[in-house]
This record gives sequence, C-alpha cells and structure tokens, in this order.
Amino acid sequence: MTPAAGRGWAIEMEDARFSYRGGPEIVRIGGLRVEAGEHVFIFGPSGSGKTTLLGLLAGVLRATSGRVSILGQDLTAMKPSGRDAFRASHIGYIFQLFNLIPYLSVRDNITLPCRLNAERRRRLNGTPMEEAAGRIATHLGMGSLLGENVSRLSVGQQQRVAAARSLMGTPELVIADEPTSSLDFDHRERFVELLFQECREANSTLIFVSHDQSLMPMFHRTVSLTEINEAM
Amino acid sequence: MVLLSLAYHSLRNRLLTTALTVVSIALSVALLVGVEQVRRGARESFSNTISQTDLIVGARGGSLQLLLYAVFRMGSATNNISYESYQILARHPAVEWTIPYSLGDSHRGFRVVGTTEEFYTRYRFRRHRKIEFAAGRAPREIFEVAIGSDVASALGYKIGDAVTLTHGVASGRGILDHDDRPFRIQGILARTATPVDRSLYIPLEGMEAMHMDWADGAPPMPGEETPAASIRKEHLQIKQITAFLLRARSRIDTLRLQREINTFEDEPLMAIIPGVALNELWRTIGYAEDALSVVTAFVLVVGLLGMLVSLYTSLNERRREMAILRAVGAGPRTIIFLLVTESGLLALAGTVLGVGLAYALALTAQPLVERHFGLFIPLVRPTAAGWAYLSAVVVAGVLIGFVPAVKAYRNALADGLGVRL
Amino acid sequence: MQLVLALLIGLAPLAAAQGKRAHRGHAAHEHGAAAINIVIEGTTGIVEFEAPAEGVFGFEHAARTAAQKKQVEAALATVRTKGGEMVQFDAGRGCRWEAKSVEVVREAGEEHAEVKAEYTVACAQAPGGSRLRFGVSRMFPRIERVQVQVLNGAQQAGLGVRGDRGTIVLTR
Repeated sequence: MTPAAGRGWAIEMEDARFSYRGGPEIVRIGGLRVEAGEHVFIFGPSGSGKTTLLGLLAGVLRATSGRVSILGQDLTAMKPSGRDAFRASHIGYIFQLFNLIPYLSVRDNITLPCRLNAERRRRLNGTPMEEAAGRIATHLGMGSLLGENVSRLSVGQQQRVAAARSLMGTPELVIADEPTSSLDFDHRERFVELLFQECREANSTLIFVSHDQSLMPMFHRTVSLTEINEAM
Repeated sequence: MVLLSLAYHSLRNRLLTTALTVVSIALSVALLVGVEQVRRGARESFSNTISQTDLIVGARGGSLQLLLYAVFRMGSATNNISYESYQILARHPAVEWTIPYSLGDSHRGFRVVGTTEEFYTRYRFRRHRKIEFAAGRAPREIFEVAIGSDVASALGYKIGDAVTLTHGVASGRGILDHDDRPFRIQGILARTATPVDRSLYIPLEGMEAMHMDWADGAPPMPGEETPAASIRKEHLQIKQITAFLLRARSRIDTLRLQREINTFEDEPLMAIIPGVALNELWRTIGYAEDALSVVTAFVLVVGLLGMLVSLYTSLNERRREMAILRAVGAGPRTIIFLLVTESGLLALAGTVLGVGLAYALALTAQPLVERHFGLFIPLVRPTAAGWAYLSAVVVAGVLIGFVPAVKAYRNALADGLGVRL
Repeated sequence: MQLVLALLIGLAPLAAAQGKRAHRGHAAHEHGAAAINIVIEGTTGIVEFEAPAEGVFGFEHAARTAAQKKQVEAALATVRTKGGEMVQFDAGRGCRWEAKSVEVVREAGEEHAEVKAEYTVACAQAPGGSRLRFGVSRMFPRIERVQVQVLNGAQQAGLGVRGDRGTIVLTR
C-alpha cells in the first residue's frame, strides 16, 4: 500500500505495542496508516486503549516495541525531549474538556503553541501571531471573544477556542480526543464541519477519536480501535 | 519570556494564595532588614556615645571598668587619681584639651559628675554634636548644678529647684545625704540620647565643697561643718578626680600619650582609646545580636517553607494545566522552569516588598524610636552583606521551586495527556 | 541607648573581675600574640609592631651560638623590610614603608624579651576609604593573633586578628 500521488503518510504504525513497565499489553496495532490530508474517524469506546493510542501518536508515550512514524519520522527512535519538540512543531491537540489554560485570555490561549514553538511561529509566514489568531477565531465565530477570560466562555465556545489553538501555525496533524462529547448534537455537527473546513484550509490531517458513532458518516474513513487493537 | 509571562499570569490567577505567600515572605524579609537596621543603629549609637576624645584616663584597673564608669556612668572606680597628676598631663604639650570627671555621688539613683567648663564646650558625641542647654546655663558657682534631660523628665525638675546630693551611688534616698549643702539647678541639658542625659553636673569645686570637713569618708559632726554660704572657690583645694577625657593635638600624639600615661611614674594610671574599648565591649555583647540574627533567619526559613507548601499543594489542581502545556509542546524542562520561575518571582516580590516595608517602617518609626529609646535608626542602603542576604533569599526561593517543579514533572510524565478531571 | 545600657548592666561583674587583673604599662607579654598600632593622618602614617621575641625568632634568651645570632638577624631583617606585608594597605594608594627602628627590648631582671618596631608610611593617596589587611602570621607562624588598634582621623578601631583573618575598613 502506498499513499496517493504527491502525498506522504501522516501516520504509519507497524506492530506497535505498548505496556506500562511490568503491566499487561494495552495496545498492539499490527498496521495503521493514514495518508496526509485524510480526515479519519477512530471509533474508540472506553477501555479500547484510546488514551494510550493518542499518547503514542502525540509522542507523549513511546511504543515498547514496533514502529510509530508520524510524518515520516520514527517517534520510537526519538528521545523524550525530541518527541516534545516534534509534537510542539507538527501536532495540534484537542482534549475532550478543559482544553484551556484558565489564567490566559482567549487570544493568549490560541497563540500559546506559536509562543512556545519557533517552527509553528515560522509557519505563520510573517503574519503577526495576534492577527493569525484573530483570523482563525473569526472563522470559528469567536472573533468578538478574543479578549475574554476563558472562564466566561460556554463549553462549546471553549472547544472552538481549543480547535483554533490546535490549528495555529498550521500543524500537519491535528488530533482531537472526543472534542464534541460535551456538546449537544446540533453543535457537534457544526463543530466538526468547522474543524474539517479549517483542516482543509491548512492541509492538515485530522484524527478524530470518539466513542460516539453518530458523527461517523461525516468522515472519509473510519477505523474501529476495537478491531485493530489486538491487545484487547 | 513566554514562560515568565505564563508564570506571572498563573500567579495572578491564584491571587489570594500568591498575595499571602508574598506577604509572609515580605514580613520575614522586613524583620530581617529591620533587625539589621536596629542592629546598625544600636551599634552606631553605641560607638558614637562619645566622639573626639582620644583617650580616657583613670586609675589603673580594668579598661572595661574605666569605660563603663567614665562613659556609661555604671559601676565605680576602685581608685581616684590625684589632681597633681591630672594637671601635669593636662598641661602636656601634646594635649589639646581635657575634661576632668569627679564621680562617686548620686541623686536619687542618678550619678553626679563633678566637672569643669570644658565639659560644656569640649564634649562631643555623635561625631560633632556638642552639649546644649534646653534651659538655663552651665553652672558657675560652687553650689550650682546642671541636669541631664532624663533626670529632668524623670524627677520633674525645673530651673531654680534645689537638690540634695547623696554620698555614694545607692539609688533611692541615700543614707548620707549632703543635705546641709543643697545645689540649685541652673541648667537643663538638651537631650543627647547618650548616658549624658542620666547625670547631674556640678563644678569640681562643688564636689570638693560637699565633702569639706569630711575625714576618712565620714561626715563632720553636726555643728562642726563650715556653713555652705561661707564656702568660697578660693578656699577649696581640689585634691583628686576620678578620670578625665583627653584630646591630643594629633592622632600620632595619641599613641605616645597613651604609652606615657600607662607608664606614668608618680601614680599607676591607665589610658584607653574609647573607640577601641567600645568596639571590644560591643563584641562582648554581640552574642545577643547573633542570637537575634539566628531567630530572624529562622523566621525567614519559615516564610520560604510557607511558599513551598503553597506551591506544592497547588500542584494537584494544576495537573490539568500541566497536561495542556505538555500537549502544546512543553517538555518537562519547560514545566520545571515554569514552577521554578513562579517560586523565584514569589521570593523576589516578597523580598522587594519586605525591603520597602522595612524602610517605610523605619522612616515612620525613626523619630518615635529616637525619642523613646534614644536609638537613632539610620536610613542607609543595605551593606554588601545585606545585599548578599537579600539575594540569598531570592536564590533560596528559586532553589525551593525545584521541589514542586520536580513533583510537577513527575506528575506530567505519569499523566501524559490523559488527566481526566 | 537604654536598650544597650540594659545589656551593659549585665556586664558590671565582668568589668569588676577584669579590674582585678593587673594592668601593665606595656602590652601584656603573651606568647603567640602581637600588638600593632596604626595611626593615619591624611597620607602619612605610623605603624608600631610589638611581639614577644619568641614569636619572631623562636627563643627569648640572648642569642648564644652563631646559628642563633644568625636566626635573630634574619628575623629582625624580615621585620625591618616586610612591614608592608604584615600590615597591607590598599595597593592602589601607593604606600611606601620605612622602618624607623627595630629592636629587641629586654627589661632588666625579666626573662622575657620583646621585638619592637616602628615604621613610617607615606602614601601617594590617602588610604581613607580603603581596607587594611594583615599578614603577620604568614610571616611569623608562631604569632597566631594580633591585637590591632587603628587611629585614622576621627576613626578609632580595634580588632583582634587571628591567623591574618579580618580586615579594617578605613573611613575617609
């Protein structure tokens, strides 16, 4: 299997296994490949090893054996500090809830990846950070809330800020961990649409993990973690 | 810079804890600086008790004893020195001036000093300050007296009052009152905040007149004493004094004079350099000072430990925050740096506030303390050692930050991105 | 001041005890100790050095053998020429030392002998504002402590220096 013309693999996992020291194997994935630019829905009910898989993909965890390559780089060969730097440069991450640093404003939360990482700053192509943040926030319907304290936002607004932050400095890979679980159905669809739109614009690959199958039809491709995780 | 701003915002977010921590550090730093200021003030006051006197001369004995009775009006001399010896030395070509003291009597617990006009013109304290009068003038006649400001305020005396002096230095009403020869108050000295305030000053002749007709330390039989009104200065032969202060013409003469006096042939005398003796004495009582410093240091340690506790306990509520920072790419080093910076900022803010507090307090309390305790607190910049201590506080704050930082780092490693709260 | 006085009251017995000790005209003869007096007026100064002979050349009796005489001579030559190393003025003040006298004093009927030296010091720049350091024990290891007295203008300072540790800041 090779990626479509002109595109590389965003994710390649080959016989990737993970267990905590001395513990049972939590993840064993024989093969998982995601093409760059793909929007993939990973169906992962609780107990399917979802959190561990995300940790491996984001480089917070290191596979005990096998290979985890992101954007052609083998994360298992990197030192922890190298993985941290790689994540900062190339990956946007959205949590299920509580995505935001409570003591920073909306604007400061959105610009945080760019402020912490030179590569993400470079990719703004000279656009001032605040301006880029404003643009993304406006796309996501948050333009008027930039100066707000994040504690004043509704949950839906908070998730959109998190999406904006993950997209700042156009990372190649965006990982969203149940980003819609706290939203009601109408808002979920709207949120996913916005996310698609932004990812397309940034040419980012999107990995969307959820136990909620109702959103599955919106994606090009669906992977069921219960099926590919042989450890479970 | 990003991390500094993050640390700042994070601290501001926990405003109450931050404020309490800063205040607790500030208070301990203020205590440290304040104690140092009082210490320096006390030392300064102490070494400026007497100025421009090159030598204090008394009968041979302990130098500390001489310093105590001649300067601090405490204890008493074992021996007097003869007036002839005094005059020989007073006329020495290397001597600029002398102030004789004749001690041994008291008035209601305050010492009486027999002296001359020189005391009012030559005596100096706090570098250049001289004796001044709050009221009246220097005593001129035999039975005139000038009183120090503490004496005046403690006993409520005013110009024109008559006082009876007591033989010996017992406090309270003396057994041997010189009540046949009372002294009239002619002057009240302005406050000096030195032991000068705690004495009464009479002419040398007055001291002699009081003891006229005495034999072997016993008063004359009633009816045998010469009536006070008939005593004239010319009749009085001054026989001895207790000590004298001496100013040499040059500092180089001081050492020569000291040697000459210490080897004086006619009589065993001793000359001490007041600054050197005061220094020695200060070192003797310096232990109290050290104890105070140790207590202050402990208070500071407690303040810093308070900071440690507050940072450490805040970590649990901040696990989420750390996970977010990890997700946007902060490595463990960044997280350690963030917490160390927070701790350093707290210590820095506490130190700056503490120093400000100490100076503000010193500024407002200065006149009060000077009035009530006679202690002048100088508003001076911290010494090099002072700066070193203050920097040490900040450095300690930074170092302490590593404890919660390492804990946060461990948490972050264990949690990864998976904290569910 | 009352505060300090209160502290002093506790010292009165100490003072009385000290008073009982005989005080002699010259610095008490104490092995291992030396006394240095320093007087500074403007750019010039006088330094006096006094120590038991034992501390300077190892014995106090009159030199008997040729070796002992040599030893005494060498030690006195050191005292004569190294004043500026025993009492160190700030190098930047350009102070020149000259020994006015160096002698061994043995008082009649006493077993002890003292080495006494007097120097004049002339500086290019007044040493006020600088720091005095000491190097006596380095020169004569048998001398462990030095009682230093400094008169410098209005400044009167005393310092017990042990093993050359301790400095005196000269006021301007």
